[in-house]
Amino acid sequence: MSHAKEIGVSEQVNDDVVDRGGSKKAGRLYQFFASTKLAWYLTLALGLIILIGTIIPQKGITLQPDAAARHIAEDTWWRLADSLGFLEIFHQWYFFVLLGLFYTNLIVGSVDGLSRLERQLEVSGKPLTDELKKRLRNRSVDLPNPVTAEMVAREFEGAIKFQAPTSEGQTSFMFGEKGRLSRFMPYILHFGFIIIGIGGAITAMKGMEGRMFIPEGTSSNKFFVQTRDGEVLNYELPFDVRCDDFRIEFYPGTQQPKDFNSDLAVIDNGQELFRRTIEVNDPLRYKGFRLFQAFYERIGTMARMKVTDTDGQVVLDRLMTKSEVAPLTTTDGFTIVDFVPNHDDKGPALQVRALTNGETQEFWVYRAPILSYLNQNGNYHYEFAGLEDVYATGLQVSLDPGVKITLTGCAIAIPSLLWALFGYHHRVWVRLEPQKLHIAWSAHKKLPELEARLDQVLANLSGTPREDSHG
Amino acid sequence: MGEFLTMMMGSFREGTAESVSIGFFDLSFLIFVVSAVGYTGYLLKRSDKVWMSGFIALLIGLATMTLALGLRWYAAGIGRPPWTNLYESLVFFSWGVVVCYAVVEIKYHIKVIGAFLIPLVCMAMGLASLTGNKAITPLVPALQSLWLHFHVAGATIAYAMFIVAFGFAVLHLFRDRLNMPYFHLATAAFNLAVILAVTKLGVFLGRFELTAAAQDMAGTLVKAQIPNSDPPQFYKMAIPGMGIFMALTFVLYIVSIVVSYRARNSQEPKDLQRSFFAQLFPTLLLTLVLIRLITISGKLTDDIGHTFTLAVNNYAFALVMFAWFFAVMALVLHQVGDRLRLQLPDAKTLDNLTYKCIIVAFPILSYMLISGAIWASQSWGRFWGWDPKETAALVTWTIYLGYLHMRITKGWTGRRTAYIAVIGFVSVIFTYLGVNLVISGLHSYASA
Repeated sequence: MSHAKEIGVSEQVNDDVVDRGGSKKAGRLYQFFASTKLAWYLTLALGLIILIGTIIPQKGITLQPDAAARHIAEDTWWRLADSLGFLEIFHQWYFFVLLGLFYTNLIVGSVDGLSRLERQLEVSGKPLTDELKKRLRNRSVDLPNPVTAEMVAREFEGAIKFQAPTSEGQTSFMFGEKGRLSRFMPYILHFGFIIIGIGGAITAMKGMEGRMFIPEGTSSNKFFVQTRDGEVLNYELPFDVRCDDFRIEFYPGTQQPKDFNSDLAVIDNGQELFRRTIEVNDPLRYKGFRLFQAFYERIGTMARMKVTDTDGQVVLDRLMTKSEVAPLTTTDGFTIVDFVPNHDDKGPALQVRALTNGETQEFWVYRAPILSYLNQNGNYHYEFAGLEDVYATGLQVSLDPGVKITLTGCAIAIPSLLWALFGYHHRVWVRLEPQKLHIAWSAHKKLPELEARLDQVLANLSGTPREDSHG
Repeated sequence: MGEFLTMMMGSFREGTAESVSIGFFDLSFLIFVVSAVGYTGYLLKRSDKVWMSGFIALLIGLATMTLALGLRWYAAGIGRPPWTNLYESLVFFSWGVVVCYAVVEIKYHIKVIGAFLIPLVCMAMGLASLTGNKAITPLVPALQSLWLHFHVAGATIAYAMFIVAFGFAVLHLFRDRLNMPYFHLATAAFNLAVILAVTKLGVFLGRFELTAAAQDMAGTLVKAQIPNSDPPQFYKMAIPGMGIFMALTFVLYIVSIVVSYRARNSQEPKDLQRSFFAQLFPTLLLTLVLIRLITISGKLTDDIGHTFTLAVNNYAFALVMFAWFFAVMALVLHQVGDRLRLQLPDAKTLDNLTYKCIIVAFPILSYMLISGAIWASQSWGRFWGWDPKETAALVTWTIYLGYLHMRITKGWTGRRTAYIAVIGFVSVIFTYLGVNLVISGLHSYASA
């Protein structure tokens, strides 16, 4: 009865048709790389490396460079781990060699599997000759009443879809199947996995991760990358970024930040191209780089100064540090000399040195609005609008050219994984003679379900099912 | 018990959505205990009434728990799903196991397995109840992402299903051939690993240290850092006697492994008895360790007069609890195994159920890895960074990948695949709890 099973020809159980094709004369190298045994050993070896990399701290990930240096200097075990490369195991030559072998194995194995699948599928739609019948699970029953091809097809409705029957004299041949595409899904899944690997390789070779630090109100294109050994390398972005403002909000009553964000402007070739507010999880993208809001630093306190001229026009409105020179016109300008929390019992005040019409004067500018009338000097009215905390925004700079390829691979892998796991391929061949029905079938999964259906169909068609000995 | 009830009633009386939800969690814990009793009763006395009481309690407990989860989500706001710290994670995980189990039981009408899984759920819930910090803690900005919902929910559900699969795999091994020494061997090996992890290898020196904890501004227990230490160092204190105790347990487990190894495949009553007692002694010690861990209330005063509370790391506690549970399970099975074995569904059914759980959980795990990659890419600027939690999950994924390939393309079934499912389970526990205990990486948001 269960012909294929008895012979046990194929090393792969999901080959459901006995293979008579005679395997291709393949080279030894090809056979080596196509073998599932190799896949198993490679997976084990890679799994072991990943396990080591999980348990032993990794430089640049869970191990700070200075701590690593200290441990290695002090402890023999750490020295041993370091000399075996275990502290940076995901950057060792042996890891890359194993990955390379793994992917070669995956590709060659998939090609090999596809050629085997082709031989499995080439019998689809062929008329059920005695020769073909021997390669399949089969049964023959006598038909007491005449049966037509339509009747057979109707019996299988919902489970198997039949093609139009072909006839040869009084004999008709039928073939029907379900779920053919699911046979290809493992290979599409492997293909998706290869795409993921390509994306990962591109990122590993061309990608970059660094940090930059821009105080509010300034611009910069410099970022730095810390290597696994703790060395700091300086790089430049091909454009400038200006931080106009940084805001932070805390959870009430705590120092735990709830949200922080920065207003950035991108300046390329001296031209401001666009402005964008970024926050955690929402980066700015330009020229392949992504700038993430990652951290921040309070760098000090600055005074907000507002200067209006006699016409009431605002000439200046900005944050200033001590001793910074702020020009008002080509000839006029001022600088903040000092800040005191309480001057002359009139509250917080700034001491300003102003150059107006070629004449230098020093005077006090008060915070209290009620004293605003005192803040007039020359042609200008100075206003001290308060002290503000000044931050520098901390950005993570990332160049990740492979991410889209990897995500494409994932988008291929997930549906094909589901299809491969839950799909199944059932095939039925029928040779309908006037008094006899020969039926053969194959299933690479869910065989009992198909056979239960077959029993029922044959019982319906023949009244009493009778088994013929075959094979 | 009385204390627990008082605490629960207190939660209800407080009346906020958050406290009522905690009250409901505690209530569902009690209902699950009833359910566990029902299911265990069904094992001993196969009466449908007894089973019905367990099953109905299970459904009521599930409903209560779902309500509690919903309430907590409502209290925390839509952007902060109830699975972001260890307490919530354990609760959500228990919920996942119960849902998976309820689906399997309704679909396949297998009633006896509840006796093995529901006590596990009770344990996880009890553990959740004991972990001090039940407050809805605010999220750091990096966690405020829609991907958090999908990523963590995916992880928890996949892990819950793998645990259910593990339950079936163990029962399959058990049903297929009763070989108690092997059970003792596996349990002792697992428990050895737990002791090594919990003492951070200090067991060789007879040392077991606890890290002092202090409340931060938000009222969360955090590790107490020694001022101005860079890299950060933390206040630690050795618990007197505990290290020696742990070391003794460790040695007894090694003895247990040797004894069980020598008794493997033997059906001699004398050998079986030996392996039973070899398991019993370290388990008694482990029980004492567990009690000591529950009752620890040390104080630590540093040079400048700050006093800290000593708290057991929750992950360590969870691992010890798991270890203890398995040891007790092995002892119970040893006593009632023969009678129990024939009440189980046949080995083939159990094997198929293991497979079915795994083919559902595996795509969810894959999806969890991918959603994590997408989230990491959006939040940290790289989709894969070899962070310990990532790599541990990858190891787990690889093990189940092996399971599926061996089963589908090589046609492995039965004991061999069941062993892979058991190894996969150990990996799941390591990924879920162990990584956060031993290694601090980017995923250590939830450690206390």
